[in-house]
Amino acid sequence: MTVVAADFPNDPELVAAWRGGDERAADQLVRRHAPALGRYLAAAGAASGDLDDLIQDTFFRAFRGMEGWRGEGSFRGWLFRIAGNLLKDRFRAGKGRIFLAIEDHDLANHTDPEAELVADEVGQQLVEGLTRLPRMQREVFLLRVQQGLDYTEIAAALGSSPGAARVHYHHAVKRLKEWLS
Amino acid sequence: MIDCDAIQARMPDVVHARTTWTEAERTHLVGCDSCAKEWRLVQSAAALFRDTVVDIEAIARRLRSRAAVPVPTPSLQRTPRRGARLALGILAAAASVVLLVRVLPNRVPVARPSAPASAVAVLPELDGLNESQLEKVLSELSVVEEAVSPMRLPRLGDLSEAQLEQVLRDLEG
Repeated sequence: MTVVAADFPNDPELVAAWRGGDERAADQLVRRHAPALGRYLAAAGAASGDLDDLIQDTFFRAFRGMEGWRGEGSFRGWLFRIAGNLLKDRFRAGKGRIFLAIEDHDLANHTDPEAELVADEVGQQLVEGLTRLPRMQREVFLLRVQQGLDYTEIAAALGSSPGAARVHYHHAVKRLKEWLS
Repeated sequence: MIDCDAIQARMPDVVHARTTWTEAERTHLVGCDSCAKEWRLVQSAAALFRDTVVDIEAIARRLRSRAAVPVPTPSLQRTPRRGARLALGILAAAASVVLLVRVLPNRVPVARPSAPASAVAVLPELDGLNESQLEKVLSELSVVEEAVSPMRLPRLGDLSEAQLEQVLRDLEG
């Protein structure tokens, strides 16, 4: 029997539908999470030309190892974990970029002129500061601030504890504030 | 009184519109340098790469085509490289055992007698010694050699149980 995804299913429902043979559920999961993965990977240091490949590999691994996700933590958090590991492998292979190239359109929320101005001023320095953080601090900071995950979700995504994630976040913020001074 | 730590902890939630600042907090953000700087940092990071373009359709299409190719079960994969790794592992283990057996007698802790100070002291100056002095040095060296000769080291069979346990502890670190 084929399980069909509902009109607006949540992630576990989509995963269940995919497991039941509904390919459209996989498409929906990609549409739902690929943009966030792209932003995260770009900020974490992925070269812009590698983004689509990294996202595709992330989903491929996720779908192939779907049995490994049992619903603890969010599905998106699990994707971040896979993406982070893939990016780490790229860095090891020398394919990641050390200093991020950043374009104006990468920085600002154009719907909020004030936020855009602030982001433009700090963004370039911030991007450079991120490359100087240890990996865990960078990932925790991005998941917390850029992606809006709470510490429990971050801990599940990175295989850490909420307390450790909180400490990594505070170290990251402290370093970035010093860097921006 | 506004607590900076509390305000800073809420910043990611405010920037993602899960909550809002109170009027007192807004005022604090204007007047507190540390909080103002962190708020700018959080705003900027939240907006970072917001307009990143991802080709979702292409990704989904390629995923469908990749998913159509059956993936072999990892446990059934028997590649030549895997076999070579296994052989290397066995060789490494065998080499470790051989090394251990050869090194073991030399690792027996023995209180070695220290060389006489006079013998050590004259060695750099042998060229300046006359024949009788050299004879004296040679005789002292033979005493030292006899004292530290490996032939006098006890074998494992000569050790007591306590000494054997000490050896094992040393080997295991």
